[in-house]
Amino acid sequence: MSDNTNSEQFAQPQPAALRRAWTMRETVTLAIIGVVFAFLYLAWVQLWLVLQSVTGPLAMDVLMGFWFSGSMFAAYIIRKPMVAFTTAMLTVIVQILAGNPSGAILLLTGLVQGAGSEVPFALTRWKRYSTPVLMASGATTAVFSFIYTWFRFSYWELATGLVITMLVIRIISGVVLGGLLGRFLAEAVYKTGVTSGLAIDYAKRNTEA
Amino acid sequence: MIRRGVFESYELASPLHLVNPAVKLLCSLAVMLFVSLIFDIPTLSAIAGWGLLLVLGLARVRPTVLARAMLPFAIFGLGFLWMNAILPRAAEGQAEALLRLGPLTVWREGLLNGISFAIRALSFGVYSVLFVATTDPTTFVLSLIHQLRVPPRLAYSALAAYRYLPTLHAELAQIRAAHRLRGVGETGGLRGKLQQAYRYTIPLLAAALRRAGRTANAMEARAFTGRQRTWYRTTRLRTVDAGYALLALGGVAAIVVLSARAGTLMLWSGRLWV
Repeated sequence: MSDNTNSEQFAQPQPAALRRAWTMRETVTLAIIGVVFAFLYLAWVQLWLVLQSVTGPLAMDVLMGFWFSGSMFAAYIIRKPMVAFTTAMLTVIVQILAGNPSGAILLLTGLVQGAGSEVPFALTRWKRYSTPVLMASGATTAVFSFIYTWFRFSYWELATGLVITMLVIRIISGVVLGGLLGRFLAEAVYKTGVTSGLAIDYAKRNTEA
Repeated sequence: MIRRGVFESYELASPLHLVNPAVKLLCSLAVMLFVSLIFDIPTLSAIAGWGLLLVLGLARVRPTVLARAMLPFAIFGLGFLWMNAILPRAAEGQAEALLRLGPLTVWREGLLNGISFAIRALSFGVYSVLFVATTDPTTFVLSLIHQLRVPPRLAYSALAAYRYLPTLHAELAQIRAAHRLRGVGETGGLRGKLQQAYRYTIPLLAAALRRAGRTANAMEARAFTGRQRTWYRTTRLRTVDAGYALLALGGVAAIVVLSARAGTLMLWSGRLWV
């Protein structure tokens, strides 16, 4: 009869998913997200090759955002520091082993894009995972990756107008195919119930309660 | 008979199976990074050929298994070749057209670039098969922990993910079967393709996360998170590892030196598509 009053006297322990330290569940989940997104990214490479043969180099900027989406997906679900960065690194390592024609230079790509995607989350001190923050993450990843490809593919040799167009397209792609799509996929997966006990689940319960 | 893919080949035996996985991985990664900087066809072909020798000779990978593993690399490589060959050149005046097929023009420089991309993709494939086909995942994790000092928690999480990779195809087949059982047909058109992609992606992600949760529970139940682990088996560095590193890296170094002497070597010059 006094069960309720009794339990209220004790401080509720904080769920492991909301603490700083990583749980086993989160590390394994992140590793497996890395594998699945690496696989999806490889499928996307084929789409890129097809589109590129039709529209030329702009295809890369149009499609680029999807190659960021894993970071936002994982960050939205696990909500811990360095999730976005680690996802980017994991996906490139798996892609190198499983067969991306760009090979080991992808390690550098992962490093740059991972750093870019982490910036907005770091600015909120890893506290906010709202839609605008996810969109911002897509945008900063796009900017970081653009600076990187500027050097890698010698964009300084191209006309300024074209370079600006490419940058704008890439940012839009990062926001839509990266941030928004990553969120959309995470929401769809959340609805299946497999994320119960992860940070996204607690956040949803708190907002709905 | 069980069809052995490249991911199951580690169950066989070869001289390369005896080499420490961390050493094998670092050697393959070093060669891949270096290959990214090489742009001329003779050097790239020689390095790919050297990798092929190692795969067939030292790793004893069966040619049919190798061919199947190389298929995606070959497809990517051909895609790059074709794309580069017909991509309009920046400096139209200086470019040399080889062939005109209606609206398409095959450019000489683009074709050469494309061929070097394709060979590079193939050599990435060969050097990753060299590692993947001869490495028992469990030994790999042990060497990550013992030689590369990766925390056991992370290393075992990586193992769980690594073991998930070869089952992805089975997972997709199961989703397809489930769709067909419920009479969901595959439709054409862009809209149909998008719907199809959605219908595959969500179950794939959900199944992966479910699997991750179960694996993590199983690992926690077996105290994988505990400190002060003891080891049933440890991996160490032996002379055979140094021998392999010398052979693999020395071979590539020799090729590069010979190629530089012959004047064919072309290193990255800050350009890619011109």
